[in-house]
Amino acid sequence: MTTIFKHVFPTLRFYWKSHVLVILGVAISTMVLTGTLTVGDSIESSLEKATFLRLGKTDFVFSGVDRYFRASLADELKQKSGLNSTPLLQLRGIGSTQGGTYQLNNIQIIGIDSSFTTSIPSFTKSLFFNENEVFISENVAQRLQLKIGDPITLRIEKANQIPKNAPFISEGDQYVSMRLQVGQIFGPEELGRFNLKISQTAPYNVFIPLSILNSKMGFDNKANHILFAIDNDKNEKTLLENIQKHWTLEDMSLEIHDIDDNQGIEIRSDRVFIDETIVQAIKQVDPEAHEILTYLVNSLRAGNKETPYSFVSAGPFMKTNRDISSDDMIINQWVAEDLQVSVGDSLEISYYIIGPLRRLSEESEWFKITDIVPIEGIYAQRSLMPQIPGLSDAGNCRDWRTGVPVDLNRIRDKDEDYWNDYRGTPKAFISYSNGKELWKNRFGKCTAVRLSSAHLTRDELERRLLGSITPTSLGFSLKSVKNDGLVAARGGIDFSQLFMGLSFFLLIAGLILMALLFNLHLEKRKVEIGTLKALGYSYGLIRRIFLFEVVFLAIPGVILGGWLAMFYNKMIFNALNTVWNDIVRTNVLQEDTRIGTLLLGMGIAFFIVLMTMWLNVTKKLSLSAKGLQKEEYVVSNRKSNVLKYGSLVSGLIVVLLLVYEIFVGDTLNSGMFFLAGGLFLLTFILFASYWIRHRSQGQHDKFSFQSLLQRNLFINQARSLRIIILFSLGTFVVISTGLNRKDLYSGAKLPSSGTGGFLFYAETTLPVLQDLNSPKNIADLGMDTSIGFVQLRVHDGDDASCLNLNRVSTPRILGIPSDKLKGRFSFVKIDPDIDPNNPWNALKTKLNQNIIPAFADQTVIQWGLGKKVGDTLTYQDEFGEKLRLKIIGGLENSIFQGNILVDENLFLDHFPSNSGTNVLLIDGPFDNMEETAGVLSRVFRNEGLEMEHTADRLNTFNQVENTYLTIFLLLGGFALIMGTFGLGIVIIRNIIDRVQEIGILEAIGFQKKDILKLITLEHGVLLVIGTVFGTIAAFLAITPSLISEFISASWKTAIIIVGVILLNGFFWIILITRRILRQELFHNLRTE
Amino acid sequence: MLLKLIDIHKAYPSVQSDNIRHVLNGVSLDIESGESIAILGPSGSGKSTLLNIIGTLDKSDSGEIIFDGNKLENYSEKQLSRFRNQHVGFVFQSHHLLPQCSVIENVLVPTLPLKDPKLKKDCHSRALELIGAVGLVEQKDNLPGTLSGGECQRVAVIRALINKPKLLLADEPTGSLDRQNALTIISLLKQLNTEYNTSLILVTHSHEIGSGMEKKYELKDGQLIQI
Repeated sequence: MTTIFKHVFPTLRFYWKSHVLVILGVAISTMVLTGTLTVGDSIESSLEKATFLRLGKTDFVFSGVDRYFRASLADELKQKSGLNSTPLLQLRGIGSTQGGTYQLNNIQIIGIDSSFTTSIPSFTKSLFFNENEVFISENVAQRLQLKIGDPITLRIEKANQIPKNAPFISEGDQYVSMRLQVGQIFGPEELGRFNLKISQTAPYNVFIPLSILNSKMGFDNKANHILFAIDNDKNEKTLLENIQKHWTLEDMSLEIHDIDDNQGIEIRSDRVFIDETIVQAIKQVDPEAHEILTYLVNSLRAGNKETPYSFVSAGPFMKTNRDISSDDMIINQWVAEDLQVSVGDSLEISYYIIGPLRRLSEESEWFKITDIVPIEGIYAQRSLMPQIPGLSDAGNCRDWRTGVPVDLNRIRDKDEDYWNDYRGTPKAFISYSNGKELWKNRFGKCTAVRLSSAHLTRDELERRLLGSITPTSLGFSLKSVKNDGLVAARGGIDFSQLFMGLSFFLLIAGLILMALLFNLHLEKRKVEIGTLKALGYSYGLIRRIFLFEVVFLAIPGVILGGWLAMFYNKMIFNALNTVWNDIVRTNVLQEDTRIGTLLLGMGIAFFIVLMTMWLNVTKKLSLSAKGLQKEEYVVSNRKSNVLKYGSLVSGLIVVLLLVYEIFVGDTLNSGMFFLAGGLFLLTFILFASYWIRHRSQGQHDKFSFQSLLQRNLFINQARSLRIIILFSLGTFVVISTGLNRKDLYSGAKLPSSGTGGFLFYAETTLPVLQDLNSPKNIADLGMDTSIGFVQLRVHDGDDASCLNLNRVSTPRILGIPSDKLKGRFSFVKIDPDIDPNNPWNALKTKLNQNIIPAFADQTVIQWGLGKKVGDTLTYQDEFGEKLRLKIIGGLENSIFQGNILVDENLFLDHFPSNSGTNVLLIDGPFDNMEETAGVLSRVFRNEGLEMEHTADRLNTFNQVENTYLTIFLLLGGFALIMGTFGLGIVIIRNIIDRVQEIGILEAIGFQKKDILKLITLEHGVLLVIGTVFGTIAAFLAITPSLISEFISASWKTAIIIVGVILLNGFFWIILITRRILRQELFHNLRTE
Repeated sequence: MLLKLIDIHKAYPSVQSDNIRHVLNGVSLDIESGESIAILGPSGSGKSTLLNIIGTLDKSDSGEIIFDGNKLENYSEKQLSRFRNQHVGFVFQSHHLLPQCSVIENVLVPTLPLKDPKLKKDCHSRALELIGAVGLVEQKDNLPGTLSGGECQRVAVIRALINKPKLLLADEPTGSLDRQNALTIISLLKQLNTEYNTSLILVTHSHEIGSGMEKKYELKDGQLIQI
């Protein structure tokens, strides 16, 4: 050990300049490696922080989609079950100020009560609302130019127990307006970021007293969410059991009524149509229970006589309490007189079938009159008419608001009299089976269920129904939001991996540079190693001496690199929060360097660095003492075959990949091409290694300037190779990223592009309930016929686009009319069974009872969801059943990014209550965009239309990709700088090593310009080889982009990049060489 | 008269003091074609400086060098390079062979700057002839690393002669060799001097080595004195 110490310390001191360079090389490699690892830590911790900011101490959320329950349920859960809970009524709204000068759509209007702060204690701000006060988040204040005390007008979606598009529901009163005053403005640390969706971006929040919001909705203290902040020992099952314990029929929107004349009990729903789940549950309680379906028909007609707008009930209305036979009808005396018909006559009824988006079709059906009954007993029950707002509460027929067209001219005085006398008492009765066939719809098949009171009491019925119908079976859900949020944060985009990928070439360049520097240093020490060997130092002792020295070089390098990693991390975070904000969309990111990760990174770097240096030492030690001392030129033959066959195999794989992609595969896979490009680079590097060895061994028949150049090129194979590798890697990265930037404006009009050829993509805060393509609606709304719409339904979920850093599991579902997308968009991958000519058609076929096909952007499938085509996503549908969406195809980057697409009809099968559409794809003239935008903004102002040009939307997503490419480009640029630095070092070292050779050339008559030319060419060839092959590999890697009409890969850019690389390289070569040659090198020929 | 040096002066700043050290202090010398001379003197006496000035690698502070009737001071850098290439051959203490080139390639390196095809013609056969003359035919394709020190120096000598120079400048050519090899090299130089009628200026500190030359000079206090 003494010998080692005696040797090492003077050596470290003597070669301090070289050692400083090596330590810097080590530090750069450590910085890149450790820095990338710690970036991931910081992102993860920032996302976790964002989860706490948006949820406070909320652990679970119980929610209903378009269903409302008693807000007092939360209080009962707190008082009786000791569960820390608070109710929320959360709706969507639009805010405006200064008479509409500023408008903000898609605001979360959150109705809260005083329990909010006590239940969610991490929110410490006082929530005492003064009269007419709302609290708003900072971003709302910013967007609407608001300060405390300012007025704000809110248009809030009208919450209703009845689905908005249920038959006969009027589309009026979609929203309620409120003029309020800003009481407090909440920052991100307070309630400002409150959000039940998994996202790092801040939503627009307005908090309002629950009671006020309820009164505006016409509710009696309702809520649609309960937040739970609970102990760890409570799980979802316990919570659901407790909810079920306090659950009432009112929470299910059910009412039990006694039927007139003591004829039993009837169950009705506030939602008009009764969920099939409930019907089945009732039938389990009483198998003899029977459904009734009462429907408004347009006319009862016989001959030329007509009774307009009457209710017809379907059910067991025979006097014997049996069902009426098919095609038979019982009418009341009033109708018989009105139509002058008698038993045995035929009667035609006409009625509207109300399809999706209120598309109406008028149908008719003939019945045979089997009985004419007086308006009494079971035929005189007003309650058979469902409670439909706008109808059942209308004073007279002319006040009806039905949601279907009513021709008031057809209403006669006698009809008004009937309404006054009997209200909506049905005038005709048909069998339930017949009525169900005619009028069943996605909201239900009956408007009431009747039971005989002889079987059970109301209380018993209620008890048994509450025992058998679970909240989840009606579409209510309990989500472990905190846990899901943290899992999403931890499973989100792995920035460590991402930046490791982005920095990979930089890391390799750093290691090559470090190895280069160390190797150059070792070369200085060759004679010393030889001398030690000659002096009888054992191989082991010399190894230990160098190992010790290497450790002494690596430790400060790694420590310095660790320190620089924190700086690197900080720089990246500064960039992410500013210039690279596109990819994170939040400002809550903070660097959080975990000491464990830092040490891990430094440890890995130490190991890699040690191994790299050690390999170099071992290689040098393997030379003979004589060889080391003579500094002879050694030609290495070792591994020549490995290089040759390695390059052949690698090249063969490249060819196979290309053949497969071009001739066999359906579409050009960008990933495979990038792999092919990378492998080509590897092939080239292996071949270059082989070629350098091979060429350096050859003989020249005629010795020329070129022969000398070639000899010089390979004086030091390792050095030459490293320069080639550094430049080929750097060029590969810079070209492949620089040219792969997407510019979608060019192909935006094409239907096959990511815009689908649509002009605008729009989302509305409030749903659009009607079919916008119907000529009547177009005319009513004052739109041009050149504007076309594809309307999409939305089932809320998390954003799975690249704008969300979390890994979500249930992205937003869009229900699309598949037929309308034929020939639009392009697919990267589709299931082999799908017709490639019209993949959209495949969405229409249900795969299994609860499995439906779905499409999503391939990038969403791969990166946002961590899935692949063929995988499934699991949701809970409106019936509480598991709904599996099987991904059968991946779209090319599109405006749908972040969503999962299913067919509208299958969507409605599982989410029947869904009313209206919130996403619009708008066709229109591209040359008249601004005018069209103006018209649409005016038409949909009340719905809170957020509209953007489809190409802009696509570019928002592609901006993320482009930002990643910018980072890649930047880091590739750093790799090139390292390459240039390495080149400079190699030139200096080569010239210093060959100073005598240059001197002798001068002595034998070479002019300085010849020597300059020789040296410039020697290094220039390495530069050119590296750059050219890096460029070829890059072009191969981005072939799909080059031939894509949506990517503006510019040859000019490529030429500029290559030109800059070459010019920069040659500039340094010439500068350094000239400076050195300016000295009188012949002095080095002296031996005195 | 092949070469005439007239009153050559050369001074360097002294390393130890601010003074100037006059290395060459009015050196004059005449050399005829085919003549061989030895310049003796201890280390640091300025022998190599004088040789470099003769070979135009270095410049004198004053004085004239007339080669074949031409004043070299008037030559441009380009002409000087051509002069060195075509009229002067250098042999140094170290062989300074290019390690990446074979023996024959090393010998041919001085032919690379030749522009005149006539001059380039027969270079290869001449190189082979010279290699044969020094007994290294077997090793002509070997790299210098595989040769002994004496063999390398022999290659360096014939490299200096490949362009048929009129003047051969040898700076301690045997300094790195053992006595046997040293004598062989001197004998070779003399032989080539005679065979090719090349004037030879040999710088050495060894009287034994210098004694083989026709004339001997000693460089002392910057002055060249014939001994």
